[in-house]
This record gives sequence, structure tokens and C-alpha cells, in this order.
Amino acid sequence: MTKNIVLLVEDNPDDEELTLMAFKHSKIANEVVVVHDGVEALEYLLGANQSSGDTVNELPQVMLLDLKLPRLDGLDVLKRIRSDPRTQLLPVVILTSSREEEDILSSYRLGANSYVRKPVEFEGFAEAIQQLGLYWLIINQPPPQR
Amino acid sequence: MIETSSLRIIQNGALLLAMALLFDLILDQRRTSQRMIWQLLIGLLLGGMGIIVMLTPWVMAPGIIFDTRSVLLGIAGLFFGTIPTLVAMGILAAFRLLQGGAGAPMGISVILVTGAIGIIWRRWLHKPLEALNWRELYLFGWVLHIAMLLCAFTLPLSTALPLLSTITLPVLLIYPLGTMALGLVMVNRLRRERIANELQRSETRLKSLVEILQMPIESVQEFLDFALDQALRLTESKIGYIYFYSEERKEFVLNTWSKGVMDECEVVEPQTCYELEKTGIWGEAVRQRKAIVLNDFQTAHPLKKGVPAGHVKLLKFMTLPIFSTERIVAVVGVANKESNYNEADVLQLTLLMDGVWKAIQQKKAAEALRKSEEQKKAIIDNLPSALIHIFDREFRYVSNFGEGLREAGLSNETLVGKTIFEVLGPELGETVAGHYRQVLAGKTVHFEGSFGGQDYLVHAAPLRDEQGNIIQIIALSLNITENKQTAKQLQAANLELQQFFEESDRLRRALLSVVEDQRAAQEKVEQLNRELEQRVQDRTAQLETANKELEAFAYSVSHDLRAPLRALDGFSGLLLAEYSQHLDEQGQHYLARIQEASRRMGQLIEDLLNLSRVTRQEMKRETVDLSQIARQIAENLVGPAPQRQVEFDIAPDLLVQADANLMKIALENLLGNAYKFTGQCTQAQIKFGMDEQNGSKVYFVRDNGAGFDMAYADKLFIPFQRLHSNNEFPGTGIGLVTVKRIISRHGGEIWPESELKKGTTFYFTLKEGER
Repeated sequence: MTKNIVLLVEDNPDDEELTLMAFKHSKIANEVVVVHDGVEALEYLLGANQSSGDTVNELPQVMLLDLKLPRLDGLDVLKRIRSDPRTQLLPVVILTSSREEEDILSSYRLGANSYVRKPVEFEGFAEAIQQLGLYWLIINQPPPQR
Repeated sequence: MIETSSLRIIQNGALLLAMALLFDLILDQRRTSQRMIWQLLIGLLLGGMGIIVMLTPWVMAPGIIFDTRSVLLGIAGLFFGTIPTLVAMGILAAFRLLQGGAGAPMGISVILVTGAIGIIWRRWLHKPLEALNWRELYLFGWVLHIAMLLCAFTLPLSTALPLLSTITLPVLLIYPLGTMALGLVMVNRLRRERIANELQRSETRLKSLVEILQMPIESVQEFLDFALDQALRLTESKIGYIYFYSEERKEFVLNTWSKGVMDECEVVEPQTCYELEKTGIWGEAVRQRKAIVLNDFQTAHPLKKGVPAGHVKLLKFMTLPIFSTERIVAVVGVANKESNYNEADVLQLTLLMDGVWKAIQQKKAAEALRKSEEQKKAIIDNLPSALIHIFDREFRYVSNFGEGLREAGLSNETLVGKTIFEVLGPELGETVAGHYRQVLAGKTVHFEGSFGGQDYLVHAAPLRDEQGNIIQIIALSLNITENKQTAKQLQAANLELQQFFEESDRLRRALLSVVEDQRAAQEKVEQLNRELEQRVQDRTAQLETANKELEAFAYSVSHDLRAPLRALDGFSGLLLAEYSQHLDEQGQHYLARIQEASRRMGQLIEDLLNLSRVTRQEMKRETVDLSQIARQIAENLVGPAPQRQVEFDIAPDLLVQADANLMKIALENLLGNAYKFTGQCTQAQIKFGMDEQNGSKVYFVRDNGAGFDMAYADKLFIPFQRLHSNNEFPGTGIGLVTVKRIISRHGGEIWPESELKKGTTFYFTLKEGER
């Protein structure tokens, strides 16, 4: 049984709060787990030793990943996730301020499922979060858990 | 009787010999001007002598009287000339007539015949009297006395025949001999006279020459003036000239003429230079290369070419060439001697002028020698620190001079007689001797050596005697101590000079061939290209670095600057949405302002990022349909506000070679601006098209919107500079900067044309054809 968790990797507390607010406004009740950097994200997904064994936590239905993160940045996290069979198929949405072509290309190359740019104005931001939630949590059929 | 006859014969002989004395008077009278009186006087004396001769006869037989009147008159005619002889003949004929007697006709006829024979003989004689020899005189005696014997036929034949048979033998035996003897005496006197004359003339000439030679030459001109004076004196001439003659140019140059000429000559513009061809008689001396004498100048002469009007009158003339080693160097001419010019004059003048010429040569040579000596002295004196030594074959100092002698602490006196071994020491002496032995072998040597702490450069050469044997050595030593110190500098200068020459040579060779020239130019171009390439690479590297920095900055801006804005906007929005009941209207207004400011900031950041992207993005030229892009942009613009009345006029098929992405951004900005600034027009018109201007394509975006004052046109392309307030037309002031950047990257230009309230046109060009 799945809890349909959303994993939010966000170091900025403002963005974190605004994202959570947006989920709330969108009437999405799924649990949102927030980690604040890449290392934390990997620990959450692959466990502390990260090497083997079962996952510590249940895999989220979707991971919202910021690119610019302390310690290990978003692209490195993505790389590790895709190289680990346990998380290889995990839906990953890059949610970032950057609109740099380089970032977009790198993200898709490393296997991001979607790339969403955070608008500056909250209305747009909230709408984006709402649609994301709607799509990835309801419309999208996630890969089967093994 | 016999004794008386003998005595008479002796008396006759003595009387005849007295004629010789009288002859001296004849010779003297040659030099006087009153010749006629002299001749008459001498004729009287001859007549007197003849009377005495006739008064001392010897009687051969009764009535047959002999005397020597035939000899006297014959010789007189021959040697004394016509006038004295005729006078004597007259006197004697008259005297004989007075004596009377049977023999009178014969006596008178003898007087006339013998005198006449003498006179005629003199006339017919075509050579000087002194040249007569004894044979000719003997012959003259025979002719004279045969004529005398024939006079016997003036007597009755009966008297004549016995007389002739008696006297013929003794007369012909004795009288011709007597005539010959007296003639020889006369000839001898003549010869002596001539010799005396010549001696005297030679003496005069020698005196002249001595005077000429003793005369200090101030100038050749002055010397020749003097020489001409002497020539005139020697030849008893009144006027004269000396011309220099050039064999090469065949030209005479008047050097001097006598003072008399200028006094008498009235030629208006006397020439002083004549070409040989144009000369008359006086050029003959050159043409015939011998002396020319004309004693009858006023009579016509085939060689004369006349003289200029006013020329001094010439009576007698003599000219002769002066030779120097078989070349004619000058011509001297003298004229108007009282008597005829003769060979003696020619000889004297030739000798004088030869002497004069040799004197000139000698003086010139002496002058040249003096100058040469002076030059030598000047050279030696001006050779700084030079020593000159002359050595004998045993290397003994013979003579020493030069400024360097004293400087080296030496003197001529102390050196003379010593050998180089004594002066230089055995070691150095032997070294130097080695060089000098080569000189003795006939070579000229140069070597360097040190003496007394000074360096010398020595040039040594052999001195030879007249037979060419080497008798001495001359050595010139130059102190080169200082030179040696500057040698290094000199070497450096030489090197520089050499480099200069090499460079010149290189340039010359480069110029020699056009091909080489071109190759050089090509090399230069290639080098410039390489340099340029290097610079481009350097610049590219710099640009890449700058781009990387810019990218890093942009990246950071993208991520970090936007998050706070989002927070500002988000939280103020949340406040407005959920806590509006706690805020009054003013408070809500403030929150709205915060939201607006943060969004505006967001837009600014967005535009700046676009600008930076436009700059950083790699260009990819391809065929781009601008019309198509423009149509799409127009649709997008019209879409959100379909209520606006906007007429887009987009020219079709504007195909360019450009970066599609960048051109889209540019047109978005331009058309977007046009759309924005026509927002207040009731009927907006936006046109995108292309004009050909000066053969190049100019694209334009034209609107009929707000327009702007062209005075501010230059502010359009500066970031953040705006010509309208944000309330009127919102914007960040980045758009046109971005457009300009894009156009620039395409090698084109952009410029506006606008009028307030009428509209704006932006023109731009694109450098196409480069892919």
C-alpha cells in the first residue's frame, strides 16, 4: 500500500513554505516530505549507508527536486538516483528558478521526467504546483513498485 | 828694271790688300741708315786707290804698262757692290782719259769691262759671298782677265797681236791667282765678320737668356713678356708676338705681344684666339713646322690671307714654331727689322725661344717640385705622432724625422748611426729586422709593434738608386695606441655598418625581383595573419573566460535572485488573500505595491538574462524566413487582446541567412515595442518590410504609435534607459539593447527614425552571405 508521498527537495525555507502553501491551496492532501539538501534526499531514498539493502522509506510518488542545493546539487542527486536500480524509475520533476538552457538540457539528459520553472509571482507558482500535483499524483500512472 | 818692276808689283799687292781694310768699312756701313753716302764715299776711296794703282805700274815693254786695276775693279764689283764700283770706275776711266796715249782706249775699256764683270758676277751669284771658294774665285780671275786681254783688240791689230802674244801668258799666270788671293782675303774677312756678328749675337742671346733665367717668375705671362722683349732686341725687330699653340685643338692663344703692337695696331676688337685653319701667313710656321721668313711682306704672297683693318703695317716678317719634344707648343713672330731677316735671325730666335721654353719648363718643374716637397712636408707634419726613419742596408738609422720622434723620447741626433738592435733591443730589433729583410728583398711591408708602451703601425718600403738597387729602407711609424683603444668601438660600428649593408642588400635583392617582392609581401601578410589569428585566439580565450564568468553570474541570478522576489510576492499575496480583513485599504495598497515591485524586479531579471543569453548563445546561421517569424509574433501579440484594432502589414518571403532563435528574439522585441507603443492608437498600423538602400537590404519595423523625440535617440540602446514612463508604457529598457546586440552579432546596424505622436521606424541591416 502506498501513501503517495511527495518528496520536496528544497533548501530555501521561503520556497518550501510557499510550495507547501500552494499544495494546501490546491486542496492536495498528500503528505509532502521535505528534505533540505541533496545528501538528505539521498539518505531518505537510499538509506544512510546508501549502498545496499531495502529502502529505508517508502519511495515517493514524485520527487520535486531543486537544482541549486547545498552539499550535493540537484543534478548530482538525479545522477545517483538514476544509477541506483531502486530509484531508477522514480518520477523526478525538476522545480527550479533557473531557465538556463544548460540546466534544462542536463536535467533531461540525466533522466528528469519534467522540468518546471518557478514563476516569481505567487499566483503562477501556486497554479504550477497545483497542476503538478494533479498530474503526477492523479493523472500520471507511476512505475510499479517492486 | 826688274827691281823696279818687282817693287811695283809689291806696291800693287799692298794697295790691293788695303782694299781689304776698305772692305771693313763696307761691312760697317751695313748697319747704318745712310748707306748711299757711305757707298759714294767708299766709291771715292776705291777710285783714289785705283789712281794710285795706275800710277805705280810696271812696264813690261815700252808702251805696255801693267797695273792691277782689273783686279781692283773686279773684286770691288764682286764684293763692294754696284755703287762704290761704278763711282770708282768713273774716276779711273776719267783719269786714264787724262793720261792719254795709245793705250788709252784699251785702258778705259779694261776699267769698264772688269768693273762690269764684277758687278754682274755679284748679281748672278745666288749664294752668300762668304760661301765663295778658291776655285770660283780663280775662275772669276780667269774670266776677268780673259776679258781684259780681249780689250787689247781696241788697239790696232798690228799692235794688239804682238802685245797679246807677249802678255797673255804672264797675265793669265799671275792675275787670276792675284784675283783669287784678294777674293779669298775678302771672303775671309766676310767670314770673320759673320763669325764676329754671330758671336756678338750669341753673346746678346746668352745675355738675354741669362737675364731671362735669372728673372724670378711671378707669372708665366710676365716671363713671356720679358722673353719677347729679348727676342725683339736679338732680332732687331720692332714688333712681335708669342702665341701658345695646342696641337690637340689646333688653336692659337695669344699669350703676349709687344708694346709697340698695341701702340700702332688699331684693330678694333683684336682676337686673342685663332683656329689654325683660319690663320694666314703666320700659321704657316705650324703648317710647315719650320721658320717662315718674308722680307717683302707688302708684295702679294700666296700664303697671306690679309690682316684685319687697322692692323699694324708689316714690312718684314719672321715666324717660327717652338718645339717641345717634337710637339709645337708655341709660335713666335717678329717683324719690321730694318734689314732683311736671314738664317742667322732664325737660328738666334730659335735658340732663344728654345731656351725660354726650357726655362719655363724648368721653372714649372721647380715649382712642381717645391709644391710636392711642401705637400710631403705637410703630410709628414700633419700625420699625428708619426715617425719616419730611413735605414741603410745594415738597419742603421740614417735619417729620422716626424712629430712622433719627440713624443717617443727620441731624436735624429741620438739615432743616427745606431742600428735597430741597439735602439730597440735584440729581441724587438730582430723582429723588426725580419720585416726589413723583406723590404730589402723588394717588398713593401706593414706590421704592428710596441715600443715604449706605445703601439705603432709601421709601413716600410724600399728606396732605390738610379739603377734600381735597393739602397735604403724608409719606414713610416704611426702611433696607434689610441686607435687600438677605439678599435672595439670601431668594430661595433663596423658590425652595425655591416648589418646596415646586409639590410640594404636584402632590400636591394627584394627590389630586384617583383616575384621576390611579392613573396616578401605575401610572407608579411601571412605573418600578419598569423599574428591576427593569434590575437583572435587570445581574444577568444578572453571572451570565453568572460562568457564563463557571465554564465556563472547569470546562473546565480537565475537561481538566487528570483527566490527572494517570489517570497516577497508570495507572502504579500498570501497576506492580501488571507489577512485582508486585518488590513485597512492603505495597508492592502502597500502590499499590492510590494507585489508589483517584486514582479517588476522579476521581469527586469528576466530581460537581463535574455540579454546575456543573446550575447552568450552560439550563433547558427541558416536560412530564416523573417516574414514567417513576424507573422507568428503578430498572432501571439494579437491573441491576448483581440479587441485592439491593429493592422499588421508583413512583407512576404523575407529570407535571410541568420540565427533563427536570435532573429525571433529581435523581432519579438521590435514588433512587441510597435504593438506596445500603438496601444493608444485607435487604428494601429504596424509594418514589417524591406527597402533597398544603396544596393543593400534594409529591413524595417514601422508603427504609427507614440513616437519619441529624436533628440533622445541615442538613449534607446543603453540598458535601463527609457523614453516613456512606466505608467504610460511599461518596460524595462532592456529590449532594444537586446535587439541591437543581436543585430550587431549578425554584423548589421540598427537605427531609429521617429516623430513624436506620428510613429517610429526601426531600420536594421544584416550582414548576409557569411555562413
